[in-house]
Amino acid sequence: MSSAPQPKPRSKKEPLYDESQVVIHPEATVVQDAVFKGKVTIGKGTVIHPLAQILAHEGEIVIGDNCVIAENVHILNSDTSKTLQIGNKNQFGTGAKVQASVGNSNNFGARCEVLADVIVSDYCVVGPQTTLRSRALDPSQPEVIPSYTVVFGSNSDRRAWDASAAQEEASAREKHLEYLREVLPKFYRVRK
Amino acid sequence: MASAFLDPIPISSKEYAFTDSGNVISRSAKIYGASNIVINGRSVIEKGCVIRGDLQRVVATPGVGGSAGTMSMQLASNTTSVNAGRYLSVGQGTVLRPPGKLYKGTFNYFQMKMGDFVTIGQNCIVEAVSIGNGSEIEDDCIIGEFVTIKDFVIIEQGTVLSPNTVCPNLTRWAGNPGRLVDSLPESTPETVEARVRANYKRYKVVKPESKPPSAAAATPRYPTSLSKNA
Repeated sequence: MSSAPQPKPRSKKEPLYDESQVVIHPEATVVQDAVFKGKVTIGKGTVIHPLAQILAHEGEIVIGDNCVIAENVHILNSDTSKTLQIGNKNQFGTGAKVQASVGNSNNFGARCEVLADVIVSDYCVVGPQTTLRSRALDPSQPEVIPSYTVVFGSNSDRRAWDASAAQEEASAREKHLEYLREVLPKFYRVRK
Repeated sequence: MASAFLDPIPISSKEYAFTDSGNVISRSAKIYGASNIVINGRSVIEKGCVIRGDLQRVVATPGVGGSAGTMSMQLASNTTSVNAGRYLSVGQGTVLRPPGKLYKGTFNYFQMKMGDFVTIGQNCIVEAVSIGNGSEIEDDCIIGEFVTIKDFVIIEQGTVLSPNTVCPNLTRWAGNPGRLVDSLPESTPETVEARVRANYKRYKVVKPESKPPSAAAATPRYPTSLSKNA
């Protein structure tokens, strides 16, 4: 009953945030339903599913080539001073939440969480429903997670992967990407 | 424990859509690729669910007549990516997506089959290949790719099942990674069916409550030329 001016209802076509600074490579497959905010760069061949959220609240986010980002994934950068770099060939499972810089060929499981106080190297696996946080004694520096680390279980234990079947995994990911690039544009409007 | 005396859940046609077969589907559920999703009736899909029917390879469009007719029928049945029985119940914020893997050199997504009386809780992520009759997945579970859940299985709250797990009939699973913790009595099928049927009957359709005109004008669902400001 108050006479205060009602906010104008947002039309469905309007984006949630300002997307003027989003740069998408012409060969990337980014679905219209994905949510972006701030300064975001998407590399060549990356596939982003609907409802993924890539929110550069403060600093910039740069995503490399040939990544797969599933639905409900949150990639956040709340730090003004740093650019969040995500390398090539990473896979993000449903509901993963990543706030750290990431190397190449990592796999993030469903609803895992990677906090901002680590830096992930290459070929790491973060299991579903695990939290990857720094164990460094000095909290001022981010901990560098070595390559081939596997994070698993309810206690988020770590062990090393012996890199067996790495070739098969790489080729499977490549085929997966090819498949998604073929199928997704048939069901969605794809951002250019 | 649910019983027939539970309070009814009022639902309005403003928030839910109803089908002839008794499905109750929230209008805010994100259902992608609806032509590839089969839900057989008396099912409830709650708010904020995501169902991915779009990850299926699009095969040749069904031919008209001739020998192509039977062929296209087979292909059409293969393109169903989520196939659910009756009395399916999916809680808020759950993601259902079919599992995918490399098979004979090509990548493919496979069909996710669900039996009757399947209950899935809130905020789950389900990538199972099959879920049997009367199985219950409680809240916050993650069911990995190509998990086979047989009949009348209970997956406890917060379980994370690794990919390719097989859950036999009448078992209870818990933990991260998920392990078998218990077996269930043989009388489970009767109780589960009664409970799921009673739960479906709790959803009572009510008329959308008439809101004050200012609130209604602030969130128009469809713009009409007959609105006051026009």
